[in-house]
Amino acid sequence: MKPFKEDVLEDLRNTCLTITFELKKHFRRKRMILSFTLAVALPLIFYIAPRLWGSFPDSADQFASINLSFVEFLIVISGSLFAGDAISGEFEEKTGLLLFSTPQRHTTIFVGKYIGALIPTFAVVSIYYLTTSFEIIGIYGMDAITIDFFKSYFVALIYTSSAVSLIFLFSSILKKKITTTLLGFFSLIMIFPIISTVLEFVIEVEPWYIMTYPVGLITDVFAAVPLFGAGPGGQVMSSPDFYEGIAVMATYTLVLFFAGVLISAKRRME
Amino acid sequence: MMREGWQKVGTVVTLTLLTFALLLFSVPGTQWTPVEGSSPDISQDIPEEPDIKISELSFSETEVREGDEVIISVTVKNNETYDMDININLIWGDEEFERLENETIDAGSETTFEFEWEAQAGRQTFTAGLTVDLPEPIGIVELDHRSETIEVNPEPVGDIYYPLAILVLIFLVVIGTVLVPSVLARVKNR
Repeated sequence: MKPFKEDVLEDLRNTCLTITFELKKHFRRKRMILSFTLAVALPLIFYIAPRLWGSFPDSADQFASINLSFVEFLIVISGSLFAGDAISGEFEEKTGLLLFSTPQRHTTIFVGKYIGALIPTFAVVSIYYLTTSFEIIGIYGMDAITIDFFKSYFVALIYTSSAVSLIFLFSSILKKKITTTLLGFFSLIMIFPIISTVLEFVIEVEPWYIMTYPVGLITDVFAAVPLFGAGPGGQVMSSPDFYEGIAVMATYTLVLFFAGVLISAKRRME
Repeated sequence: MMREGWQKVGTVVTLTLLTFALLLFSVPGTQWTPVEGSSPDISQDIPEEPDIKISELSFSETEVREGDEVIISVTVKNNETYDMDININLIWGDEEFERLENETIDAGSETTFEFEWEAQAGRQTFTAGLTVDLPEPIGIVELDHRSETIEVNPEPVGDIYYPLAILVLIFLVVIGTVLVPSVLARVKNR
């Protein structure tokens, strides 16, 4: 039996191997280029359109808030692209027959696949924020990049990890890549927000436990922008609590990730 | 002769009275500014407006964040040679914030009145009004007022270290999962 240290190092090496393989796969399939292009192009719209036809908001916080309110969609799109086929792809294309028969521990494969989906999604979010920060510096100057901007960035990364975890779980349960991608995409864009709205406005309870509810924190951290907005029917929408919202997203991230790894480990090729 | 003499005296007295009357009505500073609706215009009956002014309206802090406790100071200077009871009305935006009544300001002295306020985000304007209660039928008379505006920054949402710590925790747990099978294998073997 190998010494513990060697055993652990080998597992970490295998995980890195899977991550590298996954990143190369995403790059080869042009997903990365597509997502990175979107991450640059989307925030540029908010810069070019006012430059040509209108005027910029009065403050950098307002500009950032408007611009970053769309990062959520990019997170969901990128998460679905990168994590959608992480596990289900291996079963659908039968490539798992080769992969799972290697001496590599299955846990290292699944963790590597998860991180392999998380890294490019993080990169997409980072590029979006970087582009936005360049725009802010260009319009309002260097001082306009406040601590709130970094806070928003970290919140976006936590939401990214929870979104990737959910899609990773779907990928470990479902058989087809397209079903996983679509289910992940529609859950985060439509299903959860609808449940959240129904709970908030029909049942009149704060849906703090819904995964997509704290996503509003990405823009709420810009304190200069009102925390409350008009909801459907003119009702006032409540804003999620910062600490509670982050805790909820982190809990979803870890629980869904563990569930995904466990289900994947138990799953067998037919 | 006697009659002519009395006529002269009468003329002099009449002219003197007329002169007094003219002087009385032409003295500057006898105009009072009664608060609207408080009393009829009897400005001719008031000798002179007391020289009491708001010399300063200030805030204890200049860099204020939402929720901060701010002391609003209103300093009143009595330039007269007699003590005076005054009222101070502090107005926040369009609404009365606090009112102090019958505060005595000693002759020639300067007195500062302090008001506590919990700052609310945005541009906030305070107006201090100085009034005095005069006997009926004059009523309340405004002597002075002064306005100041303060910019209150909104309360920051959350702490940056918290999401950062959570991200690090997520990373460590995910990486740590790789070690679980090795650890479990060791435990089983023992």
